[in-house]
Amino acid sequence: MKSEPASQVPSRVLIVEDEPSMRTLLHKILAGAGFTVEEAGDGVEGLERLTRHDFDVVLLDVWMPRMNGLEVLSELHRRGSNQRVILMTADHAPETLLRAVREQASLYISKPFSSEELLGTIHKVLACPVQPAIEVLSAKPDWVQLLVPCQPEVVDRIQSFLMGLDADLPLQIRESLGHAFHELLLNAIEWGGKFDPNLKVHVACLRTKRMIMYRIADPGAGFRFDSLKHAAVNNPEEGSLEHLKVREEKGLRPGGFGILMTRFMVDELLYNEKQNEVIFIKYLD
Amino acid sequence: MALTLQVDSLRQVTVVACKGVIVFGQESDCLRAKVKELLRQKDSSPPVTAPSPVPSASFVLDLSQVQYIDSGGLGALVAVLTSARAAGGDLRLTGMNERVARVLKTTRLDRVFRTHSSVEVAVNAFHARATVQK
Repeated sequence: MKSEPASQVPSRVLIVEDEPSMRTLLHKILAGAGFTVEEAGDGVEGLERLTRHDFDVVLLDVWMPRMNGLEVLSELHRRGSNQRVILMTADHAPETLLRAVREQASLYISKPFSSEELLGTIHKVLACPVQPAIEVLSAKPDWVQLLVPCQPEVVDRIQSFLMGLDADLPLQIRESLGHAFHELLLNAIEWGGKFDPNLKVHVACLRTKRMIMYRIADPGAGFRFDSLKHAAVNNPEEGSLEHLKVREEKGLRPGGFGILMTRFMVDELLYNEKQNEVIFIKYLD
Repeated sequence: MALTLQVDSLRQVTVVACKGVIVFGQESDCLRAKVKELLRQKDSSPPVTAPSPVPSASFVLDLSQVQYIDSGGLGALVAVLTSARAAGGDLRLTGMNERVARVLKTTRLDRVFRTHSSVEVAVNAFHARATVQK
C-alpha cells in the first residue's frame, strides 16, 4: 500500500495551556506527528516564550490564570504580530469568539477535539503563510458584521468562528448553515472579488429567536442567472453535467455546483437586482 | 491539507481511499493530480503477461472516511470520472456517509456516478461488467 506523503511539517508549535494533563496530551500528539513542541503554563509564560523564540503556530487556551488567552491575543495584536494562533476552548460564548476574531486569531477549535481535528486545524493554518486580516464592524452576538479580503484562505477561518456562535443549534442546522455559508462566501471571493486581496466582501450574520440570516455582499459587478451557463443550477433536469462543457470551453476549473447545493441547504435564498449581494435564511422553528 | 489518499490495487482495480474532506483548493487539486499520475503510470507500465479482465483505468474511490465534499470537491470527482472514462475505464464510488450522499443527490450527480456499498462490491461490479462485455 502506498501512502500520500504528509503535508509540510512545521518546525515549532507552542502550547499555552494551564492544565498539565492537557498539555502533556497535546505535546504527545504533536510530537508524534513530527512537530517540535514547547509548552507554557499560562499566558504570561506564553508571551515570554513568544518574545524570545519564533513559532510557526501557537495553540492557545482561553481561560488560564495570570493572563488569559484573549489577553495574550490582544497583546500580540497590539505588538503588530502576525503570529498564527489557534484558540482552544470549551467556551462558546459569543463574546469570546467575537473577541478572538477581532484580535485576529487564525482559527478556533472547540474542546473536546480529536487528534485528527487538531492536526487538521494546524495543517490548515500552516498552509496559509500570511494571515488575511478580518475587520470586525459589529461584534454583537445577534448582529455580527465583518469585512474580509477576497482570499480563499479566509473562508474556513470565518466559518469556524461564525459556526461557533451557533453551537447551541442542532448539528444538522449548523452543518447546513456552515456549508451554505462556505459555498456563497467562496463564490463571492472567487467571482465577485477575483481573489484580489485588496478587494473586500461584506459579511453579516443576524440572529433572532426564530431565524438566522446571512448577508454576503461582494465587490463585483454582479451577474444574471440566465447567463450562468457554467453553473449546475442552469442544467436541464436530464443533464447533470451540461454546465461542465461550458466551463471547459471557458477554461474554468471543474465545479459550478455551489448555488445548486445551497438552495437545498437553506430556507430562503435571495439575490439583489445586480446579484452581487445574497441573503440566506434558516428558520429555527 | 485536510485530505490524505491511500492507493491500493484489488483484482486489477485501483482503489483510492480518501480520508478527510474533499473541498476547493489543495484537497481537490491533490485528488485530481493523484488520479492523473496513476493514469500516467498505467500508460507507461510494461504490458503484463496475462491481459487484465478490466480496463486499466478502472478506479474505485473509497469515501468511507470522507466527512464532507463541497462544490469544488464535486468538481474534482467529476474531473476524475472524466479522466477515467477518457482513458477507457470508469470510476465507482463507495462508502459515502449520509452527508456526502445528500450532496450528490441535491446536485443530481447520483445519476452520473455509479455508487456501491463497499469496495468489494464495486470491484466485483467492474469484473461483472467486463464479463458481460466479452
